[in-house]
Amino acid sequence: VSATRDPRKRPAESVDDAELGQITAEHVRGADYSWTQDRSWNSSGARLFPRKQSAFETDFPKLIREWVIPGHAPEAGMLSVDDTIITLGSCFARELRDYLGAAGFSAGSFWIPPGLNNTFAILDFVSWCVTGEETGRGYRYDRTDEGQIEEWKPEAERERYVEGMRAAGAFVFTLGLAEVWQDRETGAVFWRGVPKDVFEAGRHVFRLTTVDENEANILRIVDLVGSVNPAAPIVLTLSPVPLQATFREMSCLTADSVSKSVLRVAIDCAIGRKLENVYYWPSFEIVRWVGAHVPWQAYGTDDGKPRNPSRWLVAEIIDAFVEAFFTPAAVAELRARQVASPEPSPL
Amino acid sequence: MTAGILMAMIPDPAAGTGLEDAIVQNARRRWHARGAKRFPNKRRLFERDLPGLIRKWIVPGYAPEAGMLSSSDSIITLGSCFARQLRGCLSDLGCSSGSFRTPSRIASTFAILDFISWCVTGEEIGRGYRYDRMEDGEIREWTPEAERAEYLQGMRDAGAFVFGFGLAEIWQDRETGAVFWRGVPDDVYEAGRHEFRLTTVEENEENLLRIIKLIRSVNAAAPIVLMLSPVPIPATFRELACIPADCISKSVMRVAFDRVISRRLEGVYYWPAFEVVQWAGAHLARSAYGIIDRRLRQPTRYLVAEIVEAFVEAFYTPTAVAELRARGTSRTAASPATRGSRLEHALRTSARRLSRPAHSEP
Repeated sequence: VSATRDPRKRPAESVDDAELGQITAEHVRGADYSWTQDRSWNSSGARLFPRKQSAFETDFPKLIREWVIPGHAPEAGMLSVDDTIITLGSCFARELRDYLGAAGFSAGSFWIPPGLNNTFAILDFVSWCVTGEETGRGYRYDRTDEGQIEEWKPEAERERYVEGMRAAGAFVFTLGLAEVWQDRETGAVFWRGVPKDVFEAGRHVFRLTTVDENEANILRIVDLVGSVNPAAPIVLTLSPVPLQATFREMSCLTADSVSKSVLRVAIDCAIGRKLENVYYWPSFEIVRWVGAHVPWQAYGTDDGKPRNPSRWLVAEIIDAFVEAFFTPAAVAELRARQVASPEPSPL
Repeated sequence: MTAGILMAMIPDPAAGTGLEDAIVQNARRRWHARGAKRFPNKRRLFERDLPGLIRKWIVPGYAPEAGMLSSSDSIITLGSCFARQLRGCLSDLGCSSGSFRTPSRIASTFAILDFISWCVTGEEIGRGYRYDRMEDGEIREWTPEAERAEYLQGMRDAGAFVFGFGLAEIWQDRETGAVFWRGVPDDVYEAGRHEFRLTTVEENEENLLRIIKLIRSVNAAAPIVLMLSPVPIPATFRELACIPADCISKSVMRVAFDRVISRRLEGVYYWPAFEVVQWAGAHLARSAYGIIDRRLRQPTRYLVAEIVEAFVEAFYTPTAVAELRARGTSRTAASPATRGSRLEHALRTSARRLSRPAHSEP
């Protein structure tokens, strides 16, 4: 074998080692360079990307526990089955409620306006609950159960909301989007859309919020929650459900990519502050990131709607969440009482 | 617990955009929805026609008004290994990628800025440690393969610049502030002094703007196309699993690109290769990565080929596109249904040329 054809001497020609992390891949994979190990890249403490395609194809629960969750779970689960979990933002809440409900436990029962998906709206609501003051930056137009759009009115006294928050065992906030409608004159952000009969072109602007704005909102939410309930863990998640539409000058699919990116960075900045009892749960990565590697669709498998994550995936995410955040005794009890998942595995 | 009940509970993060009127038919009051662009609303849009999906649901907002490149224009590709894949695909399609030999697989904006700065001004930014793994397997400091004048001439003559940036994580020397192009050689590494960190959106935005400014100082007209590599990082040194670390790293880059593109700089574009693989990929019934050769961090060649086809269609003049297609590489040739076509063959050949020897496959 001539020198030029010796595979060991063709490291730079490989498309498989790439970018900065290659340094570890090279080092750990080793074989190619073992003959020239007199100089290697520093690789102490590296966490690798899965190295076998089979990791994505065989045991999904194992995949997410080994390759996605590390770094996100609390040291030990702390929730018990009768803890109330207050969830705001989106599906995660309801999914968890269903999971617990299916095992015969009812999660917190007071009604929170559903579908508050941007950090401005969540902050506005939490701020009102805790301090009695709105941030003064929210237009609370909401679609009621009857299908009408009107201003949201609390269904309970503020005192009841605060009481619920004080008693809660945990909070889960799911962030959905970084795009908002804003009133240029007052600076106020709409909880959802702008009612057609309220809309004024030029005054109501659609915009992408920044990483800094969202980080500040998250920190304020954490602060407010902590002021009434310092002990309960606060779990942040990023919804894997994509935008339904955008008003930006680009395709919705790419606008969604940017919107999720803003939130993901904001969450990382907030988590990077290592605040006590504040966690991130990687639902988003499990659906959107792992989803591109698995040989089946991560979305739309149940109803053909491409924005809905597979029910089976959602069930796996919730199951891993319960395992991480509930005490071993609670997990055992929940599993024992859990009806078999109706979701067919794609594997 | 029935599926029907569960579906009703699926959230609607886009409620904010007011499109749920489609569901609430009888509402007397509606949300403002004029000018909204929707997410693909049928699963079959992801299943049947990838070229159509790319052109109708991903590319809008990113293509130039009219293609401007001719088939003889030299395209300089620079960046991560994804840039190499692009270069291979482009030259297999008959596009000229010139003889400009850039250091390969430098994926951070810091490293690319350092290289471009040296090419254009003769000065390094003073912030780069250019350690590289050489062809002989040794790690040494990178030395230019050509005179700086040659690089500069290549940049002046270029018809377009295509960048594939891969990551926002870097190794940095705490004392000098300098950033390593790649990793830190073991014998150079000092714990405490060399730190691994995630760079910020602002840092990357600034680097991108400086890169653009430097290029513009020597080449005023050539389009500059920014891409985010869909190839995940193989490892992280952060305190979390590699997959979420990759997600965060790409997110930082994606926001930085969005901010640069929002400035509407003349001749500066983003090409959504990343979204074709990572976003559409999760909606596909097959893996978007590694499916052919089980090289699990590489996007499938079919996806890369379609990304490049759409790129060529958008950035080359209609005459050039016709000319390239007449050479026997029509777009439809890339469909999995017609594997064995010339395009597929060309792609396979180029990928083989770039690929790691079989014995080292995972």
